[in-house]
Amino acid sequence: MNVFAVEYPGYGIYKGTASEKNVLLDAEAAYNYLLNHLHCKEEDIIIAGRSLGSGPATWLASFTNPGLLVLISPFTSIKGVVKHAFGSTASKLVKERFNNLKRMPSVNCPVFILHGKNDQLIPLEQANQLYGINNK
Amino acid sequence: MKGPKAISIAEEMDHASFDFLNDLIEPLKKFMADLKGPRLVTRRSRVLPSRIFRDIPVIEINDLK
Repeated sequence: MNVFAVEYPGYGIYKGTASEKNVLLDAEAAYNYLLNHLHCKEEDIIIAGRSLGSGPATWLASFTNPGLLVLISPFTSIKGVVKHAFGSTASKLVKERFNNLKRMPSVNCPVFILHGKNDQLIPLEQANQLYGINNK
Repeated sequence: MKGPKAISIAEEMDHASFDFLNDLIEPLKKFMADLKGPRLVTRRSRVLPSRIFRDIPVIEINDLK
C-alpha cells in the first residue's frame, strides 16, 4: 500500500490559504494526479480523511468512484461542529462549509467510518448520522 | 447502486487520539475482506520522482511497513 498525502495550503511549506475552495481543488488535483500521472486504477484508490479531512474526502468521493472511502472522526458539517461546541446561536454566525451530510448521499463507493466514543469535539452522533443517511 | 457501509466505534478514542491505528486496521480489514476493491497489502513502494503539481510539493513516503 502506498500513501499519497496532501498538505493544506497555509500549513508547513505549502503557502496559501486553507479556504474550502482551495482545499477541495487540491483534493481533486491530487486525485487526478493519481489517475493521470501515476496511472492508478480508480478502484485501487482509498480516499481517507480524518476530522477536517473528512470534508474534502467526502466531497471527492461524492463525484468519483474510488475503491473505498475511509472517514476517521468525521463531522456532519462545520456548522454542526460549532453547534455542538457553542450552541445554535453561534452556529448561525458560521458559514456552512464541508457539508458532509449533504454530500454523503452522492457517495456510491463503500464507506468505512471509525469514530471514538470519547470524542468531545465531534460527537459520535455525527458519525452515526453520516452512517445512517444511506442506510435507511 | 450504493456500496456497503460500516461504522466502527472505538471505546477509548477521543478526538485528540492519534493512536487510532489499532482501532482502525482490524475492523477495516474485516470490512474490506468482502469487497472486490483495494486490499490492505503492505509492500515496498516505488520511489516517485519529485515534481510540483498545482504548486504543491509532492512528498514521497516509502516503506509503510
